Amino acid sequence: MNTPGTPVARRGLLEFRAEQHTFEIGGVRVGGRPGSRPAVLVGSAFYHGHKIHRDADRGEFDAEEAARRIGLQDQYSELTGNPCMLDVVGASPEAIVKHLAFAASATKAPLLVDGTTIDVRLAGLRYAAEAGIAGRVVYNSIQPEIEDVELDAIRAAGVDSAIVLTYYLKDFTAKGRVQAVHELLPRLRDAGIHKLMVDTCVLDLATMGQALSAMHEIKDEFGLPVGGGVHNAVAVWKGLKTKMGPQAEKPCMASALSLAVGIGADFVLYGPVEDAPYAFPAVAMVDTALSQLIVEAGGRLDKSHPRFRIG
Amino acid sequence: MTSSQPDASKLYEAILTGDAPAATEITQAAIDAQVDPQKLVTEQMIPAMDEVGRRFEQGEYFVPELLIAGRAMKGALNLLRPLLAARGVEPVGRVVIGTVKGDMHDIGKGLVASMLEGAGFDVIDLGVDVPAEKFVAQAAEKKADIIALSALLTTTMLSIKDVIQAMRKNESLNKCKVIIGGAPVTQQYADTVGADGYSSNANGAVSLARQLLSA
Repeated sequence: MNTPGTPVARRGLLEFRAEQHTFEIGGVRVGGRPGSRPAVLVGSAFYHGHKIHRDADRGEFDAEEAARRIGLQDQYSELTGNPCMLDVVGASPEAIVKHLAFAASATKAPLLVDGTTIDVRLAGLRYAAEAGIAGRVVYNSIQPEIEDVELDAIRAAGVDSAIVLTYYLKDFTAKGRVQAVHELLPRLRDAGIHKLMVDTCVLDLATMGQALSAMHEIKDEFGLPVGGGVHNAVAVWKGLKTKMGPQAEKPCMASALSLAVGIGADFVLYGPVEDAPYAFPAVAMVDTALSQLIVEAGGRLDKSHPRFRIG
Repeated sequence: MTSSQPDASKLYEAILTGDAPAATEITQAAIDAQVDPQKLVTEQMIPAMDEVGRRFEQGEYFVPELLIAGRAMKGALNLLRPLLAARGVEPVGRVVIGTVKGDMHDIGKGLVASMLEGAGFDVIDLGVDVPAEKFVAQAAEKKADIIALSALLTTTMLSIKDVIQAMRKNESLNKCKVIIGGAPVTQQYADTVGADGYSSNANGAVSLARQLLSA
């Protein structure tokens, strides 16, 4: 078995050269050899267009419905044994604070602070520090062109977990994504951000191929937890509903997740949190299949593994 | 074509397949053989990017192909631009592009910039989080034909209106057009804020820009 730190002479399926790092974030462990630890599923809430919004800019929403949808993820996480995190999006600083405050009490899962503008993300960081939940949040996301002021703010908030999005326009290939990690790692270490989850950037069906390749390469070279928003590939697939029909959407989403976890993804973003009933069973199935590689190699699995829950 | 002249049609293929080193090499060989640079642009490069756009619309090409074709085109253009300028050849049009104030999102805007450049436009990319005054000042200074605005959020989308209002107050930009795009942006919003056009994707933005300049 490829135990941490042990060089592997002849590599088998999903064995990697680098020691595989696992990080504990808010009670959830992410990373490691595929099959040994179940993949982490990340559902998104309060994103643009999410039906729970009443006034997205002011952070007003249907709390009862939000709680129900977030609860669905927790329920399927418990059912399958796959850990979860909640991607909390905000359209404004005011909104992200309200969303985080709500999410922090609605679920025990780690929370991703997600905003496309720096002021939104920084407001989320400040709230996390003030509310004493810095150890439970993941900064989403750090990109290769991040400036020091943003890294300083993450450190100042006491947050040491982040998603690294390898959106690297200088070389938008699988290799470019690996290069992005090379360039960012020293800066992130200096900034005290040690718990890194590398999102290999899925923008459409074809970039999913690049992202999957990069996931393998990054695990092999750095041993860091990898994954990504593979649901993006399905969400922007123009011909999916028009050519295949609306019934094809969920199976394709579940297939994309399965594919990613099957090649070694440690975490996957599956889109709207209410899609948990489609996402979790698919990933739990793959995790269970991969767990046999660990068993055959003489490894032991934790009793919380999907293998012991879904059969 | 004489036997000593390079086959310029290979430039079309190099761009179509996103082979940046080949595109640069063929372009340099064509320059050395004194092939008309404008003909390279109009007969090989722009048709190649048009075909890239068509394939994207048809679902044959995806984002990676758009990006690598744009990069191949850019490499060739970098070699040709000084020669075109020396001959007084004007670009198809000049576009000042950026993501509006408060918005750091770059992906969509980058794609549009790349596609416009590939289609022969002179593109001045102001980056992300660009204030209205900067859009207007740069458009006026560079004598832009088009200002292209991107926004990803409902909150930052409001900044589009600020840019359009500031621009309309500047007499030197009377003829300048505004095109907008981004996830929350719609044709209805474009009509409301007085934009000249809206596109939901990068290829559509190129068609829109051409259409506005030919009107």
